[in-house]
Amino acid sequence: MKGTVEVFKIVEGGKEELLYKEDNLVVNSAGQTIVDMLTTPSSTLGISPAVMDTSNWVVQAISFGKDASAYKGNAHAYPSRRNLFRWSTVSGNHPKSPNYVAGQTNTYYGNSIQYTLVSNTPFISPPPEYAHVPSSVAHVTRYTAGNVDYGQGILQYVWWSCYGGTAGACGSWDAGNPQLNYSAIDNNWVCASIYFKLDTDIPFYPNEVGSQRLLRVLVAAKGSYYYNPTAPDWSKYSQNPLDIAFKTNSETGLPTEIEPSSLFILSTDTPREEGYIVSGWQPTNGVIDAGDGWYRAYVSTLTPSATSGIGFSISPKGIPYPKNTATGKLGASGAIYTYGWQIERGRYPTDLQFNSNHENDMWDMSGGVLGNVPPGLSTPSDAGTVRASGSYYSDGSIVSSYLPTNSLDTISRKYPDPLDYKLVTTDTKGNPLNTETPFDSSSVLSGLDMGQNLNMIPYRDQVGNLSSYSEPLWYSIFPEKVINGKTQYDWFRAPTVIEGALWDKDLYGGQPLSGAGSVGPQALTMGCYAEGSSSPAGGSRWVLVSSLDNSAAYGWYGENAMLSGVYDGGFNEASSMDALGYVGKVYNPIPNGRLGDSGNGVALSAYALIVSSAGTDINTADFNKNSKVTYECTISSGDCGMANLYGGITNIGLWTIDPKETIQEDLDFPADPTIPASNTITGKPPTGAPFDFNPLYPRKYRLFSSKKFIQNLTSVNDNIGAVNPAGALAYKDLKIRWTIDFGAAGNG
Amino acid sequence: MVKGHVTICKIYKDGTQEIVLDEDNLTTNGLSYSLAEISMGAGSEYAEDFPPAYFQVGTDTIGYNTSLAISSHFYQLSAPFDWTDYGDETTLEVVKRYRGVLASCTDINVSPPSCSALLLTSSLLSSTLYSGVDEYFAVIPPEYISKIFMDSFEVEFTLDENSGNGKAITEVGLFSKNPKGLSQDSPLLIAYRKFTAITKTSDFSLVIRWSVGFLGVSNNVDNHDTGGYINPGPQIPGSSEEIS
Repeated sequence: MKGTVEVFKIVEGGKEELLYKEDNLVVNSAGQTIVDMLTTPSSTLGISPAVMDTSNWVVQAISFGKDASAYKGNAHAYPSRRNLFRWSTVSGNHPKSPNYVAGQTNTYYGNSIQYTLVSNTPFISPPPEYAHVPSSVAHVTRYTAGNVDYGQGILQYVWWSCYGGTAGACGSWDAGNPQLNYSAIDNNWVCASIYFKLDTDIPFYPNEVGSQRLLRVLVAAKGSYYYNPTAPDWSKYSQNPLDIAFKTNSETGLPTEIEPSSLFILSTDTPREEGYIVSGWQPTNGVIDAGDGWYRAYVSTLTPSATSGIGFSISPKGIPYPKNTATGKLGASGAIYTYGWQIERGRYPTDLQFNSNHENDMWDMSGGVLGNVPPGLSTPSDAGTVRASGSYYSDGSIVSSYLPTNSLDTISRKYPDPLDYKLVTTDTKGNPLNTETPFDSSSVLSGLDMGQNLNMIPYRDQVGNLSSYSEPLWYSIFPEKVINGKTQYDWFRAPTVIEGALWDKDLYGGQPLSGAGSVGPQALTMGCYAEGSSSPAGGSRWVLVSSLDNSAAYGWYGENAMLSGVYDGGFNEASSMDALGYVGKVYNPIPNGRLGDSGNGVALSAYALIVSSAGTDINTADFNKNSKVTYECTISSGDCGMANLYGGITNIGLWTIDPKETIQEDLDFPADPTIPASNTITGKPPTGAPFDFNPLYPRKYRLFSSKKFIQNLTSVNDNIGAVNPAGALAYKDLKIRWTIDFGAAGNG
Repeated sequence: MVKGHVTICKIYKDGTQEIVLDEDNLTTNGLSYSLAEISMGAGSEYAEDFPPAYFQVGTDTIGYNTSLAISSHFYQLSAPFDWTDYGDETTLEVVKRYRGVLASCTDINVSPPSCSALLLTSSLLSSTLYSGVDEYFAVIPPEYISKIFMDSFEVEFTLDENSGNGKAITEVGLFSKNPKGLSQDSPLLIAYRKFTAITKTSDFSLVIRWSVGFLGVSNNVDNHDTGGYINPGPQIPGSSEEIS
């Protein structure tokens, strides 16, 4: 077997202009597929012949990608400093920490300690995952309170600049982040998280019958309130609380036991919002078992317009809010250990980063996506803008097209190899070949290392697909279950799927917050293909800016951009590409799951994978030379342009079905009979055939053949002197024609 | 890329083993034709129609020239055993099947067209048809096919002490089951080996072990011997069509 890849540019009149014609590499797993088919026991075949027929052993998909390093740059670029807190440890050394004066309620001072005592307790072991971290970098602190009420806890926040511009007015360590403008993170998700552990000697305990609450963690984002605490503006405000409680004895009204095993998420108060904020936002929150008695609680909120401060607090919650001062209830007393304060972009907590006097800049806050708002929660035009750094011509007058950073796999020492099983190959354990991993925990693609371009943008929000308790949508689509990327694992964790003891489905009602499993705005950082023109967003917006870390270079919504436009995606218009970037058949639409879907099916098969005989003239072709099959796929101009912003296309691959992995997915996640069918993920089949695949419940594939180009297939040249010189605005369709010759005459 | 290897071993009644052939084979056009058919969604829709399911032995050889592109374009043995050649006491399950063949036809629009089997020749694609002819085959039970490396399989079958005695065997062919998906099995030659004549007697069994590998660089089927031979044991009568 051998193959040839031809790349054509489709020019005016539909004519094809040959750009490249090179040999490919048929990889070993191609033979594995053939042999699997030939040796699969007939008894297995007999179980479900519809699943195991020959169509499941042939090339069914094509995918595109680039070298490994390119996934860390270009429009994939992501701030390495995720934790936006100035300090990740609330130190007991703070001058205000010991016995901070009671009676000053709800005074939002940066990093202030209210009514309580915070002590450094480095002798307490941190969460096991961070046992190796020196106490000089981060340590456990103990928060002790007596007879305190809601709001009387530890508060830390990120703010933009101190009221009046002087650090002293802030009354804290945090002098603000003067590099930020007041829209640095508005209309975006932020997630705050903290590790906590009960002090089992004197845990927070309600002093009155009638409450079972242990503590509350809360994130709040506010507009000018933080900016001007003397004249708070409640027109821009959002917050999301999470209460953790003990189970209660129905007779005494007191907790049955004060042990971690008795904890559960009691409820979340209705998130509050006021003023200029996208309505209908759905927060996430949850608690993750971190081992050794530690738990990580997290809450997220959608920031309002002109956000100028984000606060995160943890406090005892002895009696229900509001504080009932009239009855004189005493609230709660006790102590708790805390570790690892973090606040970050997104809806889910990622790996903890330790900060020491970190000052944020605009790059920390924005990442590679501008003005992003989860779709469905705002107007379609607010779906986000992909940003990449362009360059000026030497005369400075006009802009160039984007030239992606694509280093031909030098980082991962990648070269075509018969042992490849991805377009960018990792070792047999799924780890990249180099310690400088392009997909490590600091990467936006950590754990999503499919080795190829993903197709996340149209599926960044799946609110409409999850209306009941269910597995996280995104988590379930990855064949490796994201085993190598805790970052993404946490991102995709549904807020109601709580590990350990902190999940009480009956009490909580079994109703997760909508948006569970949604990847959210991070999808635009993952890329890599534009939405279809008939999507609510009408394609995908992009801008080229002169600098990624200078707000003056791009403004916030793309103003001051060097070049901007909207790309219309062919794959997503046709719904031929699943979320993992495989172009196969044209999928049947799924309600609310695929943008660009009219609900009446699609017919743009040209942007799917077309399989045919070698395309020779049957009347002149020689049978001797006709053991060939041709696979053809057209990449639309918009997809070329968008893929180029994400690093271009240098790798392509042909894939066969991997029947075992495909049906294994269903075995791993059998349908829950307790969930009404109407509330399950649309398209998620019950156990067993027939399967109903869709972009979010895709087939699984095995690499058959790969091709690496030295040139970026999506590179463009500017047409200097033309009215519209930028090549980024003049993309043409590309056609990939891949011919495999199965001629097998061998030896003798 | 696609390689095969054949080992033929005499096993005498006292257990003595004698390897009489240990060389590569010729994978024929039937294999590549089948793979291309699968890839285009043509042929049988059932995966179980493609594994090796039959073999033939014969007493002549195909005179192919491996330097020519058409060296693998044949679909038959030169002189395959007839029913009686296997012997009355054979433990093999011998059946008559419609052996597949690619044929060149003078005018495919004439019914029936005038066709001749491709035998080390080629023809225009437009005049090539799949046809067949009845012949006798020995059945290879599915359990005698196994995956030996990631991308290699091995099949083993035995011409027992009561089979083919007195015949000077010079060729052996491996056939897939029914790659065109016809209503009844239509075996298609996928691998072939010719060798110096082995005159079969009742003193020994001939065990033939055939491995075919695809692409692999780490699993060269020529370099590995999985060892051991199976005992075919008693056959279950009536499991397939028997010839009266």
